[in-house]
Amino acid sequence: MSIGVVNSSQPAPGLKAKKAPPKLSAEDLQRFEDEALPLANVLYGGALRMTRNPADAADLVQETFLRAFRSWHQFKEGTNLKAWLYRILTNLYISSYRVKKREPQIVSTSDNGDFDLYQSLVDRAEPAASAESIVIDSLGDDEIKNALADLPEDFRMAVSLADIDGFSYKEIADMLDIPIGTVMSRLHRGRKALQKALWVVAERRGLVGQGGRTK
Amino acid sequence: MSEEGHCEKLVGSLYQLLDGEVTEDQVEFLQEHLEECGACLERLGVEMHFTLLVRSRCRDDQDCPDQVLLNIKEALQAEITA
Repeated sequence: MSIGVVNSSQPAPGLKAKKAPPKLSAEDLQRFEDEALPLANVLYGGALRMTRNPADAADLVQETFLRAFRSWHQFKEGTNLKAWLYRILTNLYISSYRVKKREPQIVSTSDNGDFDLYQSLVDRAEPAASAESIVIDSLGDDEIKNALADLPEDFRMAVSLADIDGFSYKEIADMLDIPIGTVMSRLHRGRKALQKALWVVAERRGLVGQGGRTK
Repeated sequence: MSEEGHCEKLVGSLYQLLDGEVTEDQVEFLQEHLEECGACLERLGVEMHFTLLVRSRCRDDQDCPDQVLLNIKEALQAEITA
C-alpha cells in the first residue's frame, strides 16, 4: 500500500456509499486462477490487435483480469468464459484506450467499400482460386497483419473478433453493444476493405497489374 | 434483374454461410443456388480461403509476458487480502 493515500474504504464526501460487492475469498481466487488465467495468452493476443502496442496490451490485459475478478460472482458457470472476459476487454479498450488515442472514428467508404476481390481475381483470366493462391497467399504475415492493423477501428474490431478470435455475431454484438445487423455490415465492409488493402500491397509488389476491379 | 446483379446481392448471405450464421431457410435457398451457380460457388471458395488466411496469419503466437502474469496475480491477491 502506498503511504499518504486517503483511506479508500471510506466513500468520498458527498457520494453515497455503494453497496459493497460480495467479498472474494481465497477459494474464489483459486477458481479464478484455474479457470480465467489460462486465457491470458488469448486475451493478450486480442489486446495486442486492439492496441497495436505491447505496453498498452499488457496494461489492458492486467486491468481486464482485475475487473473480471471483481465481477467474478457475476460470471455464470457454464457460459462462455472467453467471451465474458473479452467483453470486459473490449469495453475497457473502447472506454479508455480508444478515448486516449483519439483515433479518428470516421469510416471512409468512398474508396474501399466497393472493391471486389473475387471479381478482381476473375479478371486475371485464370481460375479465381489459383489466382488467389498466387496473389494473396504469397503476401507475408507482416503485410497481412499491418493491413489489418491499418483498417478503420470499427472494421478492425469486427474482423479481428470474428475471423481471428472466432466469436459469433451475437457474441460480438454483446461485446460492442451494437445490433447484430451492425456487426454484419462492419464485418462485411471490413473484409472488403482488408481485401482491397492487400490487393494494393500485391500491386505494389508487382503480383498483379494495376487497378483491381470495383463493382 | 441480371444474373450478376442477383448474385451480388447474395454476397452478404455467403458471408453468413461462411460464418455459420444462417437460418435453415437460408441454407436451403443457398444450397439450391450454389448447385446451379458456379460463380457464387467459386466466390464462396475465394472468400473462405481469404478468411482462413487472415485467421492463420494474424493469430499472434506471442504469449502474455511472464511479468504481466506476475503483476496480475499480485493484483488479484491484493483483492482478497485488502
